Amino acid sequence: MNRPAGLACLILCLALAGPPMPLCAQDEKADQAVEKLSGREIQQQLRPLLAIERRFLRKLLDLTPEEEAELLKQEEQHLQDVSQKHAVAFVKLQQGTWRPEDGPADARQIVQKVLAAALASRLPEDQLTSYREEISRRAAGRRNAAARSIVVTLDENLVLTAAQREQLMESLTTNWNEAWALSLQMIQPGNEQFPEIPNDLIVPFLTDAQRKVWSSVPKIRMVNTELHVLGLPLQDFANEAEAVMPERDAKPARAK
Amino acid sequence: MNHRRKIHDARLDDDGVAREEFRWNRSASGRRLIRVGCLALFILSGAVAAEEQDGDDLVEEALPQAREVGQVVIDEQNFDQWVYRGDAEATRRRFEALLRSRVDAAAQAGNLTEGQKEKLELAGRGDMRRFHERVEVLRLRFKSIRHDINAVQAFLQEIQPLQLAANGDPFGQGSLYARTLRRTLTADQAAEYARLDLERRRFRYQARIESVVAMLDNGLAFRDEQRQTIVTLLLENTSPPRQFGQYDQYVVLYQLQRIPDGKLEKILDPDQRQLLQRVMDRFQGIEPFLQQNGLLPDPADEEQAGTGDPRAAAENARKR
Repeated sequence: MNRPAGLACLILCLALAGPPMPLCAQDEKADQAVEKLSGREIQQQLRPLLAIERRFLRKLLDLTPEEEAELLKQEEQHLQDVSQKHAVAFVKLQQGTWRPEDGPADARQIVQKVLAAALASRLPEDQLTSYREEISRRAAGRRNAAARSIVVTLDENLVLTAAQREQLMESLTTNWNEAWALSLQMIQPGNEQFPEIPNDLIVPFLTDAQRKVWSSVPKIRMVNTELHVLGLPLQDFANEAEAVMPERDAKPARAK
Repeated sequence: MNHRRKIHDARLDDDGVAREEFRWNRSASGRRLIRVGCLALFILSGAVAAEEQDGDDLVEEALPQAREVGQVVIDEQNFDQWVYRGDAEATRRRFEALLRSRVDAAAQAGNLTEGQKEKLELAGRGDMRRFHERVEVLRLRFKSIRHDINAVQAFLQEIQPLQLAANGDPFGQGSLYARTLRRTLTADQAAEYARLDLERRRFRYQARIESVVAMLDNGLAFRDEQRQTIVTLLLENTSPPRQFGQYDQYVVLYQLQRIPDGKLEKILDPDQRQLLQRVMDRFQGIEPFLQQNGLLPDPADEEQAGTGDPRAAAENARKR
């Protein structure tokens, strides 16, 4: 069995794990699961995302080949550090005990953190700020897309008024939890389930009849970042990103 | 082959629940047949419509092996699995909830009388009964052919519209409900209903567009400005599907393909254009499927896309 498939099996096993246990038993089980998840497996999951994000950075900051080579070196070191931390967040997601303080749940954010850390000592502050602002705007765009999809699914079931749709958008985006939409595909039509959103972010905006329907809707826990592009493996896009762009070779090193 | 398997595995990570629950009578047919069944279901699964070409190849490769294992009888329970994803009761509950939502939506348009509500509910129940009658006709056919693997293969294609209906909205265009709604509402109620329906469809379509762009962003890594411009381009130059459902993202992609090249070229970098083309190539053959199932936008809507004529759009929504 190849590693991604092994990882998927592990996820499935963990998802099928039994009823809630006492906290210390849960911690113990989490530790064991983290031990089983080797850093290499996590890194394998993160690498295609890293390659794609690096391509983004290359263009955004107009990196020279020397800068990019240095970035790769730094990135490798940071990757080792964060992969173990991500393993903890990853396992806690399966077990439903993940909290934001456990570190990012979304592998995309982890990769962005790795790159930001790798860049920290190498780039001028203005460029670093520019990258941080850009990733924050991109995250906001993804959050809006996910929140709107969730409100649409609510609308399909509860027939909301235009005002309710707006109130719910506001409620979800201001109290956003990244674990609700690790996979956008999972909240598209055809999946008649909602992420595990707390009632107090939804119920105050519903009528009594709508509350009744909402309480009977099954909720799901997402455990994995979407690692494909509308069904195409992310690795294909990463391979493309790894290919050296011809115009880079001619670019002179930036004066520091 | 290995490469294709990998794609299949990756899909199972995200949305493979229905496929993993797939059940076969294992007594006589053995594991090979299970694989054939899984592949067939893989083709039929809504989330992978665009993978049909690859899936067909896989079934073609695997079928001769299944034939070699001799006479098999496919378990009757598979029929429910194919049509309802294994849970007929959940489909029934979903239809009930949809009908209630539809009537509530009509009620938001004005004070419906009890008589009007009753008519609408009755029409909706008629649509549900029609659907269940179609299911039972095909169930009987399945019972008569379930011992013949070749006939079952053809049958799996035959029930595709039914699967689509089970996961779709039985009260949309062409339904008894839609016809009754047109006849039942007063002119004022109909105008208000059309306005609300248009608002709802716009919100819904924007959500689909933003999701598709966010999913493309997984691999193409758009800058924020690019993402916003593509969303606006799609909102202004394309139209919502006739019926919203599980294939909405393919309707958006299909229309993205048809946006004149120059407009996208201005927004995307050369490498992003290449990668986008690779995604588009995978969905080249989707048009006949969307066309056959009445999912492509209404031509009248398409004409108005980008013209910003809300009155004409509202008129279309009213007719709908």
